[in-house]
Amino acid sequence: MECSKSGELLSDYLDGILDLKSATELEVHLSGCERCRQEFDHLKALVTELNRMESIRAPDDFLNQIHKRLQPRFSFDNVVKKLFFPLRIKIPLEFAAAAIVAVIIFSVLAIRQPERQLVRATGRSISSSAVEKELDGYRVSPELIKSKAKPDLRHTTPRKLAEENQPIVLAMVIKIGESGPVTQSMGIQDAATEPLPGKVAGVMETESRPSIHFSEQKSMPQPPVAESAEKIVPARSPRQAASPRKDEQEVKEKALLNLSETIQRLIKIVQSLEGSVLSESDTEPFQSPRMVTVSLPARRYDEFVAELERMAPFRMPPPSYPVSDQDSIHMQISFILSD
Amino acid sequence: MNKIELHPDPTHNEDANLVAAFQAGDKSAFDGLVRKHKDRIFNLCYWFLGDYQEANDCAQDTFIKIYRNMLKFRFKSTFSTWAHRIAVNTCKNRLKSFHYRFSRKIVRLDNRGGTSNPDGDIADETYSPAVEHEKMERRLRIRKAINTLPTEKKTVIVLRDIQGLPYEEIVNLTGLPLGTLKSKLARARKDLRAILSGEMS
Repeated sequence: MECSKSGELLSDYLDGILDLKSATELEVHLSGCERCRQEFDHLKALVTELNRMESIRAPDDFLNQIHKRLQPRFSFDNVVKKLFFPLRIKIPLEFAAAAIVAVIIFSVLAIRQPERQLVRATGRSISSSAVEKELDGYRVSPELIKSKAKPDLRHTTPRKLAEENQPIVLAMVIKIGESGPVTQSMGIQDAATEPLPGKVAGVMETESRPSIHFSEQKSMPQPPVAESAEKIVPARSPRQAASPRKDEQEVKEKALLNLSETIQRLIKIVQSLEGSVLSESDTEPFQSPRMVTVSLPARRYDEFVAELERMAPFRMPPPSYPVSDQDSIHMQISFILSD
Repeated sequence: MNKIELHPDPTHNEDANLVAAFQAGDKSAFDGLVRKHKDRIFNLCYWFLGDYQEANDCAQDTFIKIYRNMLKFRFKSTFSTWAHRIAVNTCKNRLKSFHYRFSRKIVRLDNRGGTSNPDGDIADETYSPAVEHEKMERRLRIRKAINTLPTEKKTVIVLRDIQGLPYEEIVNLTGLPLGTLKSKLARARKDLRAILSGEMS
């Protein structure tokens, strides 16, 4: 037998699985070959050493650890682990996702911005030239303004408009009759614009201090179209200016009386609703504008509106005011009397 | 001739009874199987992976796989063979896994040149006088040498020489033909000896 052949058989021979014939031949070879015998001795030593290798035992709590892992767990820790671990992979992923979502939201808002402005602008359009100017800025055709000119208060609530950080304007129109105000209507109007002539206008702002502006005018015989919020014909028309002076004086006094009465009624209403009058400018009792600043608990706002309604019915429903936003509403009510 | 004693498991009937009990709905039978086999499986994993913590993870994985698959066990082999097969496959997968390679690289870097108690991950060992220390060093060298073997050679040498499983069982659980197993084992032993005597780096 050759040494190379012998080398192949040593392992089997060591384990005692060599057939008898081969084993005998190998034994003969080993007895004559020092090198192969050494090889065999080394191999045997190694295998013996391996056989005697210390057995590493499982830890004492091995079974408990397995039980723990077998229990279905839906603990907070597991959720956190699933969400955030491994940190170096999931945290950047989550940041990336958040960034993408933010970009999408902002781009959607940016796309919708002109549309929202349009809603706002048309809501307050009421034929005001200032509003038309603003709409021109958005390149909206006059036809579109006309078609959307009718204000829809349900879709332009104070909350929605407040998000744009713009003053919300509520126009209140009261037609003064012989025995006081008979009609009220509320609409949206730009705070910066002049009070609507020939009308009583209420203005409500929700920027930080919401306010309602009222302006009142003597009850001149008005053309019927003046009642419409969309088509306001200025009361100071040449026709009216040309009316007889005596009649005018008489009517003005009557209107001033109505004005004072209206102010007193309003103050009473405010006081009955736990509100308070903060200031009242009456430098010239018979001059307009007169301004009353009142504070009203926000939760009483609905009652306030109801009281106003009792004075005269609303032609358009007043906007609702979110109670949770602040505890009290400050209202600046100015009564403007045009001559 | 020094014939290596083969270890046919004389208690495989006990295993079969426990498996049958488990399959009949007695989940606590699993605990008995774990208690009986955990050390052997753990040892196998330890020598296969060369790391105590990895061995712990793999041994746990093995028993969890056993738990989840025991209802499908059809007694075509002994429970022990089946369990060893699962353990070997789990270890092989672990060796292939990115996590194992990555963590091993870290350990290797950390341990480079460091000789202070490198074998300290064995729980029941304490630092001992010179002889013990020498034994420990030798064991560490063998463990490292086994670790450098390719997976197939490592498998046969761990199963045969460390675990002391009979050829028949190794054939059963690895699926290798007996002839292949014999030659692989012979080569693995030769390589290991070469590594340990410094003939191979």
